[in-house]
Amino acid sequence: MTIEEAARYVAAAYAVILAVLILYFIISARRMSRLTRDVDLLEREVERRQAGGSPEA
Amino acid sequence: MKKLVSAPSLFIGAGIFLIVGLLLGFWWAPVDSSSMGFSQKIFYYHAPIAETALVAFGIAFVAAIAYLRTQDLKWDRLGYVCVRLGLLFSVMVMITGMIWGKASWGTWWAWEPRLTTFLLVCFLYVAYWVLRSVVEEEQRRATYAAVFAIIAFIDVPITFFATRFLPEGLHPVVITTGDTGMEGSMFASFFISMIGMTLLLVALIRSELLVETLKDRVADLKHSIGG
Repeated sequence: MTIEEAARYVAAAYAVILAVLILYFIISARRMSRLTRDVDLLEREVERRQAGGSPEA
Repeated sequence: MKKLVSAPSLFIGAGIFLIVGLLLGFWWAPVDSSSMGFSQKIFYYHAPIAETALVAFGIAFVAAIAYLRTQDLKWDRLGYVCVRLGLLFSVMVMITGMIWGKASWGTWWAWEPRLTTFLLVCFLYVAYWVLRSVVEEEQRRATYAAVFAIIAFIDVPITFFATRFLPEGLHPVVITTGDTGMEGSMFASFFISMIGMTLLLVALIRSELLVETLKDRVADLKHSIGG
């Protein structure tokens, strides 16, 4: 196998690693931001209820 | 909320080691003189990823024992996170291994000891995941998962030593006791990448544990407002 042919396989292998990691980071970041937003909303709701506000208001 | 933000320094450190390891592997380490030739360059990430996957399963094993001893759900959470990350790394190992196999052996897959036992590891930990999803009650799920993680881990050392006990397979034994089996520059590049992958695993474990903490917090808050 020539270096040029081998280089294609090497590039493909590193591209797969990069793609998997990027995909994982995107999914992880979206999940983290959704959960952080949910926690903030729920904490505000709990504070509002503790302050005596009605849930429907 | 600030303390729930993952330390970026671990990711930055991992990134630096991984980039340096890769650059050294390509520009400092020579092209392999064996039949593998230039395709051996895949080794500088493939092997560290494989070792890191096995380390993640090892941590899951330790966490499983710790859970069974203490019944503390934090160990269950750690085990679950490590299995998830171990599978992520395993996917990368399998795909890069197949590409490397095609380049150096001329085949995408061979039923030889290392590959077969590693595939079995993947199936076992996928089964661990399935098991968790079918048990509703938290403590029972954690106990079953811990027992399963201990049983599944039996295949991990078998995978690691498969090439040593059964050397007739295609997969080479590179690093042995007292011999790195490669030139110094190759080993240095591999070792730096190995540090990078380990740091990446630690950073990801930390990040995933934060996600699990956030999930628990959401569940607690929903419970407290009756949602």
